[in-house]
Amino acid sequence: MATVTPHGSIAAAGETGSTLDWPAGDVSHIPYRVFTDPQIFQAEQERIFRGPTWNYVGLEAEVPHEGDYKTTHIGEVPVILSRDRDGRLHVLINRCAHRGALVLREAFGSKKRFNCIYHQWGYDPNGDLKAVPFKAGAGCGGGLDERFAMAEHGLKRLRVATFNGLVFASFSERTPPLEEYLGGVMPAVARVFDGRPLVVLGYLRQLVKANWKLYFENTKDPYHASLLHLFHATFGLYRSTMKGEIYAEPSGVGVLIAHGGTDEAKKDQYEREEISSYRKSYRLQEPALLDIAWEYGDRVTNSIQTLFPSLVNHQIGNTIATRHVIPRAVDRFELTWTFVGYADDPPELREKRLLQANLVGPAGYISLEDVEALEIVQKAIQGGERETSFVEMGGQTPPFAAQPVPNLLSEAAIRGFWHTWRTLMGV
Amino acid sequence: MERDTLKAQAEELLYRYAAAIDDGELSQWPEFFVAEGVYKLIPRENYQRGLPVCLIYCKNRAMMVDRVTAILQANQYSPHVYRHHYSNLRLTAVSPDEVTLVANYVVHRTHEEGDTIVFSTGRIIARMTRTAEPRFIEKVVIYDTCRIPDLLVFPI
Repeated sequence: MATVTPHGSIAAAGETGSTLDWPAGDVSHIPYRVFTDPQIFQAEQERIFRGPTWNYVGLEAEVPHEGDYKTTHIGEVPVILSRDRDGRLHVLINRCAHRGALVLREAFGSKKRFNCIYHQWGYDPNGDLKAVPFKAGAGCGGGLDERFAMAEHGLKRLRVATFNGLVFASFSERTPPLEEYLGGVMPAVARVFDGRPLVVLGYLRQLVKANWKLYFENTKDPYHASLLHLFHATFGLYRSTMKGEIYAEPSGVGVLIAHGGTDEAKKDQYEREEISSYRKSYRLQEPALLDIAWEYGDRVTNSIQTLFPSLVNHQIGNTIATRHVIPRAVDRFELTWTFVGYADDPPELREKRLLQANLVGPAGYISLEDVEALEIVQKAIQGGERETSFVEMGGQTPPFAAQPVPNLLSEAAIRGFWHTWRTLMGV
Repeated sequence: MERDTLKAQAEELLYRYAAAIDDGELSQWPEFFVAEGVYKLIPRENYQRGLPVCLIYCKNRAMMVDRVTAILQANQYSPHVYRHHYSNLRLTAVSPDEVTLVANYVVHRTHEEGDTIVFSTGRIIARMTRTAEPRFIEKVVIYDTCRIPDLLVFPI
């Protein structure tokens, strides 16, 4: 287990000299070791995922009825999102109070009683222990002591908070209320998750061979989006010449917004700089793919909300999804895309959401390239643990003092992320 | 007898389709469909639960051409190839105009570095025309390997 040394570095127990050599306050040179060291990954589990953070677990729409449940993870810990008979939501650690087995194994389901198969200890959907077979023995000894209290052996319940259908949980009593945690990012979340009933349109999942933090860097990075992605630059879904802004809270949450159609006078810069992702002559044979319906009274083509440490929401055109970031190992994370629409979507709009899903997800014209970028970073930093990245577009400081940042050529939100990470990790 | 001929045609269509993707003639891929043909690559969990989101959804051949153009000219990914294998081919419906077929598939993926993985397995439900040169009217590929390793570029 990693420990914090007095001078503010992470030191691995039994690994002398293995410290993270990172000057205090520096958030623009990121030691590559933070992406490759298993000890740091373990420390993150405790200090971030089981620390004072709100972790996404799912949508209220995924568990609409009493007894409904979904199994997922917070960091490496298996958890259950459930709805009890009074309609209340719970997030429970999916670990039997008896001998530690997974209580529920299916991704989704509905049951009145959650029974562990190992010794049939049974729990209510709120986590209360309700059944222990042979608790009083069978007439010739054995069984549990008569002082055994069922109430003390339920499934461990986490704090739960919801925001317009999104469900979060926290291990820590120190985590501020969710509204405070979302802070100035709340309006951007509420623009899409506006309280209308949601419907799940489907799931896409992938296993990415990269450290989970690279995904938060990527989704807080307005600089790459039109350089890596031809579909963004060429079709004007996103260009750094557009009107746009980024915002980051010290809690780690943030948002990146681009307004379509605002750079007609400036987009020629892509040609002048010979940027290969901008190709004027590139055409679609089926333009319906990008026939966006403006749903929110604005022309925001891209809104990426990064709800550290486990969720990225997107609205790109008419596609809306939660992207659940589940760390699996120092060099692996799972990305689960839950696509949603509104319950009152007219059929034409629903079809647009399905067509535009081609832009995102594991095979998305845009999103597949992000995963490629992350994986080539993870490959290239092997053996470079003593070196750092260089994150100075738009300065060297986090953006907290002057927000929102009114341009899409700043890495300030990434620096904000590292400020948050260093604070939580104590390094 | 007629059913055997149709089954042989279905098999030939699957094999030629696979050869186009596996051996470098990706631009032919849309030609295995009629102009209004539909292609869906959908995870088994969505298919079973009636959830409509697909990994790739082309509502016509033009969208397939767009997918090929993006793969060949736009998208950034590391070089790799597929190898398709089919089994358990059955014809489940035969009408005067079309044939419905089902088959299992496995796709191995090999990166330029030389490592091969079982990339995807699942089944195909497809409708093909009863013409001299049969084409797909609709091809739904339902993949079991729902946690995609890395990312997916080429259609299955």
